[in-house]
Amino acid sequence: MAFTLDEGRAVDIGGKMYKKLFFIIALLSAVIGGGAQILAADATPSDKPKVEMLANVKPGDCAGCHKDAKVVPRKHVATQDLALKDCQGCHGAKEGGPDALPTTVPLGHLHALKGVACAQCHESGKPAPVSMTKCLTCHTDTKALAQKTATVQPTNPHESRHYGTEADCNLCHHQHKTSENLCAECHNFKFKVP
Amino acid sequence: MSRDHSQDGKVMDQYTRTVLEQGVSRRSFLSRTAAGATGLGMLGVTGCATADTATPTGAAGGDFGKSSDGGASLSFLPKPQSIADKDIATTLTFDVVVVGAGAAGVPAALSAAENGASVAVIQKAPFALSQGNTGSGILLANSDKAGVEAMISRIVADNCHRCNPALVRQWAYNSGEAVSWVIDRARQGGSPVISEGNAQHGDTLDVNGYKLDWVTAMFGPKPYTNGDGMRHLAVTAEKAGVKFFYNLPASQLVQSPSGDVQGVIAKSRDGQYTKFLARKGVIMATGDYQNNKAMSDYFIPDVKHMGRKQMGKTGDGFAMIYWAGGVIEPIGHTKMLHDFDAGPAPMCDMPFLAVNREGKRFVNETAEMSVLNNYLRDAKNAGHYCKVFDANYMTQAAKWPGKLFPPDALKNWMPEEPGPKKGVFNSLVNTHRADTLEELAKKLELDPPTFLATVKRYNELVASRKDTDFGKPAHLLVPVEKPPFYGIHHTVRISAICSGMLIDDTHCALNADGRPIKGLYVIGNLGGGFYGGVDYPLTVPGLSLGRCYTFGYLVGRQVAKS
Repeated sequence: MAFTLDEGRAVDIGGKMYKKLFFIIALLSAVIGGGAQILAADATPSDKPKVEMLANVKPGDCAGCHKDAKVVPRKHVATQDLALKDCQGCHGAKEGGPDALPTTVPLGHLHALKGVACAQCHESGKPAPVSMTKCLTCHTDTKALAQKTATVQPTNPHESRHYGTEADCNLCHHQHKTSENLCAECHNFKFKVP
Repeated sequence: MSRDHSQDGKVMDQYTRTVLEQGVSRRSFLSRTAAGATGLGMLGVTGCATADTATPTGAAGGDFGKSSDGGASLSFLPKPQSIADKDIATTLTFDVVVVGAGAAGVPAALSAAENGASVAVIQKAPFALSQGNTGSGILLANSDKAGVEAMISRIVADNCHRCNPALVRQWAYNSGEAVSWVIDRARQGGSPVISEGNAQHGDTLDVNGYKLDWVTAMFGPKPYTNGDGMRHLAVTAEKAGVKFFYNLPASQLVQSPSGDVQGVIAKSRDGQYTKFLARKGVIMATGDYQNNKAMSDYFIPDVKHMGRKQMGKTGDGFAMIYWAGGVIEPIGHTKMLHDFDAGPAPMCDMPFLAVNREGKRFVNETAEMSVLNNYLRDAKNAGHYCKVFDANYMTQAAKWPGKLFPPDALKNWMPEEPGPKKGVFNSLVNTHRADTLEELAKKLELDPPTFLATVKRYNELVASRKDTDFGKPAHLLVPVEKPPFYGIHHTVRISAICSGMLIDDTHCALNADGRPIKGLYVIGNLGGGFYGGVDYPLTVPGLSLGRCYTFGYLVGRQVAKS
């Protein structure tokens, strides 16, 4: 069973811009009780580097999926056994700054480092889009979420004149490619979107 | 297959006949793809396949796709899935069901309730939504009838003579009553709406020598808009008994075996279906489809690279009515692209030097803002242009159309100016001042050498008193030479697409035979026939919202009394 997820975009890691990547995630039979499998990409352009994203690789084991590609700075501490809270020991200090994890690592990686397994979102076992209601199983209700960002300037990104507090999370927050500041299509809101 | 295009003895008008012949319906799509496939030799040896056996392919159909049941479909109009009764969690029955709570839907619901109907409104968003500020109508008591007819003729002409005049006439003779009613009822809901009268209608108080008198609902100033206004109107509607169901997108219409529309099925975010049965009729008011990229590229490729002002307008109502047998107006829909936010709105049509994103002059600047999108359709320009003037603008442009704002007032539209701003969206203002043209170019995101060369050339034309590049009248040629310099960086984006479904003058949707689909009514930007030109005409400020209010008011009452 193969997952072909969104095209990975350029990711700025430690000030370096890396090439576009393709993430292919395989929901492994390991998750469901079998051994590890690697599955081929589905209709990805041949001139782009491919990354096989494997559910049985530890979230911090960059090389497990990225192979020899340098996705963290050369002098970075070993990431193999790190979980999200370990990363935040260094990266959490300046939220939104250049070292903050949410602006340097795709959100899907953060979920993985937090311990969220692929199948917790993609519960059908197929490469299907994940609905907003799935996000809300962990992130509580939309109004409570909007309260958390109520003081963000110049406006609350989770409460707008377009959608109230009910904008679909997926409009801005992407898991397997760089998230986007949808507001910036029209407004000069300089949000950093995890 | 023979087609009876007559409407029960009525002589069919030119507009309706044309849309039936050229519009997009399930039947026309099938027959056209069959014809296309035959032309390409893709139908097998007999060459006489019927529409039902045609097999459209990517090669034959372009953007056409196949629906999951194998039947042909436009890919952006997905066929509704069959929903079994056992999967319906709740069934509710009302006299009237309105789909969409906007500038047409909320007035329709309130109007129906005031005329004795039980009414439900199903709305995809968490509240009523609308845009713009101004909605206008003609007060008949103080207007010449010849003036009303002259106004109708002017609007029809500004629609390139391609609309259904009966609908324009219906707006003209009912809009004064409807807009006055909206103002009154919105106030009852707490709205600070201003009844502006003739203030915005200086150009249309006299049409061909005949007098007109206007009523204008001004839901403003910004950031208060018609969206807030419709939310206030919804308060009045709720008091009148209308039940609003928010966060609940409609997904398909319920039809009898003979095709009459009996209700709507809506699907909540968690996948629960609710069936709304309508004893008297379903009024569709779901707006346009500007956020449905495939559909937009198909019907109105002009705006492929243009930004969208609205969100979530995915054309749901088009798909629902199409699959109920309705007809979408032919390709080449009318578009509305404006920018009233970057600088003062009354200065937007002033013929100052205009440059595109390259920093080059591109037009005789007497062309109004509402048509400039046609020069800026490519991916690079994407609706961006700048109007440029110098320190003498208050005297040199004093007699130009519109209203000038002095330098101190212009600061309200300058993002660099600190302090609170009034009557604007802070995040959309884009006016700049600079002491040099190089500095202004940078602030306007233009290439300085190109921009400087353009200004130099323009000043030469001004000095010669002849615009040998674009032919702008000599009295409108003023130099850009005295600092400080000013520039307004406009970005026209899609406010609305205002072509829609084929309807008759009772706003009942028509099928491909030109016959009414009983129980199905269409208003607002989902309704066709009112426009038809390349661009929405700015003949009458507030025509768009005035039309939405008027048809909501009329159709709500009509369906309630049916």
